[in-house]
Amino acid sequence: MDIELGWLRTEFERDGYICGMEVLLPVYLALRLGKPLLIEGAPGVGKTEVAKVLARVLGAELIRLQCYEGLDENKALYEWNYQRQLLRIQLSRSIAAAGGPAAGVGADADPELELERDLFSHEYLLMRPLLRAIRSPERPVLLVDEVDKVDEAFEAFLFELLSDFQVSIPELGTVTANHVPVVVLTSNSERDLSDGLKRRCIYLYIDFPDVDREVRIIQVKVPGTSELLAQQVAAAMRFLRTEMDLRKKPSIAEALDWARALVALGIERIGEKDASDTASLVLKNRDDLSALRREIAAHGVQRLLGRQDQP
Amino acid sequence: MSIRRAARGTSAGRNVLRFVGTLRSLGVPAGSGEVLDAMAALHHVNMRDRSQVKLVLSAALAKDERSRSIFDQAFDLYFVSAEQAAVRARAREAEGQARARRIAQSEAELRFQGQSLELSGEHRETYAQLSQAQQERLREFLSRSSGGHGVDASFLPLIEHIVRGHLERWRQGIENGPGGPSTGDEIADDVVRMVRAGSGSGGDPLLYVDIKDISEADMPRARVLLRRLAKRLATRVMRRYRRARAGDRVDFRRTVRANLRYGGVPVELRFSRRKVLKPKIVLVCDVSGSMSRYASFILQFSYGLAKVVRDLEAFLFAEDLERVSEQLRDAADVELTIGRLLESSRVWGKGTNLAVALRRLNAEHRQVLTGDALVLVVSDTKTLAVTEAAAILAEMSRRVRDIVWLNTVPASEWPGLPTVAALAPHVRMYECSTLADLDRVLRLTMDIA
Repeated sequence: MDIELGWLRTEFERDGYICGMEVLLPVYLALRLGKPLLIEGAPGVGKTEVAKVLARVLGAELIRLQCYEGLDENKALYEWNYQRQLLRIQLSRSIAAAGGPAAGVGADADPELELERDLFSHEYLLMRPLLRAIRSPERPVLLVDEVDKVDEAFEAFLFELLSDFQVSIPELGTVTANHVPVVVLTSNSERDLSDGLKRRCIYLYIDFPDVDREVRIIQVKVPGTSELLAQQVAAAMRFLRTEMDLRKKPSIAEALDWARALVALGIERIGEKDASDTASLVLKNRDDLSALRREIAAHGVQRLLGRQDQP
Repeated sequence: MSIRRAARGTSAGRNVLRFVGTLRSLGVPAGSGEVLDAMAALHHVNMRDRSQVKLVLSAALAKDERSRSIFDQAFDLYFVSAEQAAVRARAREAEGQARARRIAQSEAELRFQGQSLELSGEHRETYAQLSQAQQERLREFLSRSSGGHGVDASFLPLIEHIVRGHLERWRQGIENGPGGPSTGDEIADDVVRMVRAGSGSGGDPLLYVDIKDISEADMPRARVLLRRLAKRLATRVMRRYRRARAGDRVDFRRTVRANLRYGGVPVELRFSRRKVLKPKIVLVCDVSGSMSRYASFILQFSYGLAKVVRDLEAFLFAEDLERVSEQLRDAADVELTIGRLLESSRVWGKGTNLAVALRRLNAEHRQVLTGDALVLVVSDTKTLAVTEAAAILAEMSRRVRDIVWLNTVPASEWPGLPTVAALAPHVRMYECSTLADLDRVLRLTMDIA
């Protein structure tokens, strides 16, 4: 795909996706080399967002396959419309019983063979995301979300599909992609993916942003946030993610929620009471919340908000 | 396009290939397809921008947490300025000279009745790399055998044989140790050594420290690591049980029943579900002397898995056996409770008698040793009455699903331990002295279960 790194950077910025070269470059390479992009990182760092932004930037359709335990080829690739086929059989049987000609049958054709051919045609095919991506008339962006949730057998099937972008449907023959889709896979690394799948991909690890970048993200996504408030929220995020031993670290989405709430409440500078009152927007676990309240009781918001709050 | 062709002609290409070799020596699984990707990707960035080159190679070659941490260190050490490379070359040269001196010295030191021994250069080098104490031991052996009663010059070949044998064993130890085998590329070897010395082999270095050697200062970090490992494994195991339901078959009886209202035409299909069976674990932990810390870590790890295990029974033993399942089951804070248990346990800190412990387990807690139970024994195998213990284990292994022995003694020392030889045939024995071992073994165990 003929795109330039500088162009991609501007487009990502314009779409409101604030990131550094460490994110842009792998994305750019995946596009240039026509390889799937595998994104790993903690929940809520913006992995899925990369695919959505890419689709918008490239003006392509986003086809999403959400993975879950027990996902199989029927749900991911295609399925025959079983109920409709049954109905068709029943119908042709009652027509035949009534003495009428079976639908669409010429004088010399074998009606049963004709019926069977009819039953396994495109009309009865339910296309699932992977087949849709392959048959799409324009180059789509295919997002395979949370690929670590599927089992190994499906993973093996997936990487075979990703290497040649063709499937063979026994009743219809081989279907080859019109355009090789832009493929983005995301994983929360709850399970190690197979080496085979990883080998076929360009790899991108997204980490939590540093304080300065998070300040920018907050200001872009939550208009009306003052510089000071954004600084305080970002500093608190850094403290919570790196200094405290939490069960679940707050994500960027939670930082944004918090900033929105603070803006809505008209708070311009986070005090001890504000922090405890709104803590449940950031931490969503009882143990984590009480750990934060203990921290505030012991040290106030000094350590939480860092030096910005010091007089 | 072959890799060689891709790399030909450009010194940058050759350099990247050598760098990939270095990564592979450090255990990063970079395949040839990935190397081709890396080469192709380099065409699309500014080769003079070091940070871009690093990002590109990382995206193509390092695809998990461990690999990324190794890659970062190796890249920074491998692609250095000319001045830094010169400093390193000088250090290498000095090291080479020092080694040559030590080899020459070994000729003078390794003598039998005044005659120098015939040893290969490799073995002399091994001798030069040994610690003072090990060298001392070898010299003492030579001087003692030189002066032995009735020993004459005809013993020389025999002595040479023994010395060579020792040196060979040490040589293999050195090769498998932190330095690893040489790749034949001096710069690459240098980088491999430096990365290994820096942080072990990726991830937190604490993962690879023997549990008994973890300092008090590092304990909080070790506990966090332990919790994280347990959580990861629990997620993985849980996933596996849920997954067992996938790929179900059509359940004819329920399908027919559900479709009676359609006149028997199977419009709605019903699928059978496989029954999920969680494993049952019986933990038997040695808490004598130095074993208590291992026991505490392994207990904590196991209780981190409690959610995904049907039943977890825990026993502590030293001279005798004590059941602690109840105390741990009701504990609000497992970590704290384990600490208290280990302090107050009546079996604590005495000698080890596995046979007595197993007999009591058999006699008083027979109900836990069912056909689906997985018995985990945590011990260094240094026990009294080992033959009797082995016999009880042999009998027990027929009754339970499996017996897994987590041996806290490094596997390299097993050949010298008669207790290991006696017990190993009746159990699956794994080395388990570091957190990384613990993670690996429990992963394996849960797969068996």
